[in-house]
Amino acid sequence: MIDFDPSTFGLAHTYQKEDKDEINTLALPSAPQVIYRTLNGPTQINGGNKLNNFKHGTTTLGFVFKEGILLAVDSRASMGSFLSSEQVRKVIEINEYLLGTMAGGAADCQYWLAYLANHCRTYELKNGSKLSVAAASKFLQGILIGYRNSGLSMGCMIAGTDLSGQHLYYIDNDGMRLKGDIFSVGSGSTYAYGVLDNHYRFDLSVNEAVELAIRAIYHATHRDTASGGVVRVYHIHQNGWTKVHDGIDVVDLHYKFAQEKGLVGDGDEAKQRLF
Amino acid sequence: MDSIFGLQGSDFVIVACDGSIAHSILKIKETEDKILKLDDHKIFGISGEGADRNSFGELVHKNHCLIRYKTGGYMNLKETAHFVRSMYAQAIRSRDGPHQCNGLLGGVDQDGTPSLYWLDYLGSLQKITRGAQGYANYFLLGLLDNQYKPNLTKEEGIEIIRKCIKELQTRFLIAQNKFIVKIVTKQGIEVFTI
Repeated sequence: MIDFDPSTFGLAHTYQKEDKDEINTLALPSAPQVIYRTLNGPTQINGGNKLNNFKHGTTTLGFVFKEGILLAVDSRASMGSFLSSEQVRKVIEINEYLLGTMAGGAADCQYWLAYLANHCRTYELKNGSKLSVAAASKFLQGILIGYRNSGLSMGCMIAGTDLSGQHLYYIDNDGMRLKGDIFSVGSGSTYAYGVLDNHYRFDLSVNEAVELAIRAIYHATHRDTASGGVVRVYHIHQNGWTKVHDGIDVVDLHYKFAQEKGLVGDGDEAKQRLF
Repeated sequence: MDSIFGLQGSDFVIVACDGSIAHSILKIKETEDKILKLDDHKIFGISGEGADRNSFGELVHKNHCLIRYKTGGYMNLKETAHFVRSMYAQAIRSRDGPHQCNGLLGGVDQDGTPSLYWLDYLGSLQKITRGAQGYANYFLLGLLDNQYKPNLTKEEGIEIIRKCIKELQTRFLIAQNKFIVKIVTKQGIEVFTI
């Protein structure tokens, strides 16, 4: 017989069974482990470790220099340990004078940057002049502040040219908007920053800047598992933007850079001879 | 993790801030100006994460402009401080919750009287002569209390701020290399980076 003592219905109590033959326990299922699957990035159990929670599994970078702005991105999309694509286009061409990079949720970035493109065109038709980069990025910031607690995931850079020059803004899903000269976003950003901070100068030539951007993305893809594929490079100058490279395979780059150092590229330089 | 600190002297107010914006272990930017210029004689240093600092700052700035436009007049420091406090207070039990940022409002009135106000995200308001927001409190209040004396000159004030910056760089775990310092006097606002 079950003891109908009211205290036994409380969730905090473990039901004490006197008679082991009677199967009358109400087994409550334990809360399932919450597994977050993001389009780009490693699977996180129970929300993941907050400190290393680079949920934007990608590497994108952009920097301002004397000839304009250079944007470079990788092209990998991963779902946990499965590579869903090695050919994603992470630079979104908003219009002929504005580019946006994608990090975080692909759908969020694509949708809201397309929305921004719509807004820019409407403004241009209504007001007869193009929207400035500052205004376009501010418009996007306003939207993201409104959706702040809705679970959007975006870490994008807006780069473009307007009458006052070329400008680079970083905008994320918290609603933060920052103007700056060098940004790198994504799980591989720390590796890219290492290379970028070391060689960046404002007075780089276009070729040097492209070379630097490619190297930085390569190093990030080499060390970060969530970045890889091909490198795509865009240059923004006063007449709009140009696609400098549409897809350089990072594996080819690995062997090319190893050869420059006189190495084979198989990582054997640390191997000790046993005999 | 922002450090905002300031002090008031005989005819000036100084507010200083660190320039770094960080995301977990990464420092995204080192030269961010967290001290907002409300008008030629008022500055508002805001400390907060993410968008709150930016969006609340914009809200205060534009509403301040609107009130001056509507009333056709000039708002002195006391009115501005109470106005900002009321903006914080209105938000406390709102749908989006309180504005997640704290501030230090400083400036000089038209007659040359300086004042510095400490504002909290829940709508606390206190007129102070020296103070800080955030972790900087732990490191700097002792130093500020020790070095402060009434009727400081501008040079003495700047010297105390330099000592504060040096203290943060020595003892604070988070490396903060660039600081932006703004001084308001009757002549206007001077800005320099240390």
